[in-house]
Amino acid sequence: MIDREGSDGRPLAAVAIGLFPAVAVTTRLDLSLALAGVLLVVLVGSKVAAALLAGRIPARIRLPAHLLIASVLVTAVTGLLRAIAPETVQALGIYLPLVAVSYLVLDQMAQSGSSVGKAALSGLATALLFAAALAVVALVRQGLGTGRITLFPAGDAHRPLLVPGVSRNPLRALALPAGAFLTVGYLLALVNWVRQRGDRSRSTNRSKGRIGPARSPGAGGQP
Amino acid sequence: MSWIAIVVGLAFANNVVLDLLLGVDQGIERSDRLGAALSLGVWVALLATLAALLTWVAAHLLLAPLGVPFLQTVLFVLIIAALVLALEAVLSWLSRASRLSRGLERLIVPLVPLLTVNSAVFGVTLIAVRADYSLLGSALAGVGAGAGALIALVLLSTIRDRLSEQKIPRAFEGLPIIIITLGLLALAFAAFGNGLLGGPWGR
Repeated sequence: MIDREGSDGRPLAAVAIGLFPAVAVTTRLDLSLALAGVLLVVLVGSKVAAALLAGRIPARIRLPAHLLIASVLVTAVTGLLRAIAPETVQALGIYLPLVAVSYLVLDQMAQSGSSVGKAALSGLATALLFAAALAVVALVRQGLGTGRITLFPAGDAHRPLLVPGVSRNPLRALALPAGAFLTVGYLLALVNWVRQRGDRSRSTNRSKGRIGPARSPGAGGQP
Repeated sequence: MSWIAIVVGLAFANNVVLDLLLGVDQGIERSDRLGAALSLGVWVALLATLAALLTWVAAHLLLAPLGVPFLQTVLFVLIIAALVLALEAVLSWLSRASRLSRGLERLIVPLVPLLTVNSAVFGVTLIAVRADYSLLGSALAGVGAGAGALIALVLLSTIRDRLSEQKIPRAFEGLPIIIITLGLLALAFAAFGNGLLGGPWGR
């Protein structure tokens, strides 16, 4: 079992796993930001709702009840988004309703206590981390994979930005679904590496940045 | 679109896990042992098929006549949750009768929360409705998606088994190497879409 580490401590692993399947839309930066915005509203809203209802839902139907809350919120946000930007809803496809069964949303709802303020704040923090992660993945995948960056239309500047040097010969594999896995995997390894360097410079011997199956000491290999 | 194309598409060319990125989160979590991966894959296959059937009925006989297609997300999520609870109840009822289903119950009970929120199951119901498949086509989409999830999970868990004996750089240990493995598998599966299956069945 992967230790996903909850919202306390280091939520990065939880967010990294929670990026799937949303990471499928990171072939365009504007879509990624739109989906991150939807998740922010749904996450904060459902955490507040879960906090308000804490202790009033029998444990046996807690998961279906949380699912109902999340899916109603997703439906409401989808309606709103459809009114503002129908083509964005179209382009997000099945990944917009899939926010309702997002691991992040349901995990966060299960963890929320009865304090509404605290629930809203921690939901906001997780959603912002998710948005940042999705945006970075989108910058890498769209920027290097297609050589273009799509931003929201502002006035006449509707055309995507061209990335100098890459736009003629993009790394097309990054724009494939496989590129989503590879980008997330390598970025996560980079974060681990930076963190482990920091840990080592503080001369602590704890391997708290590591996520995954426990290994016998030394088997992982100090470089 | 022919029925073969639906099944083969979701199992290989557009593999639910490796191409559509559905069910990846639970796949990563449950692929540490082959047994765990197999049981999750089999239940996903069964549930995706049943869910695709039931949601087709709900979409065509309930949502469309009432003119409330926007309730799709809420209704589909609830149908899947009810289906999982019903499956659990049937198995626990049967388990009092025979020893075989007692084993089955032990297999599904820890999976109940996972199956309820499995994005492969929910995703395939959405794909079937949006592609406007027939009733049979929806069921076949469920079968194909389930087969695709099973194949991807078994491949991932056997590769992880081999990887556990290898020396891996510290920064890549755990989650990063699993996700990169999935990426390489996805690259391999991308060949199905363009080369191998592009000719005979089309897309």
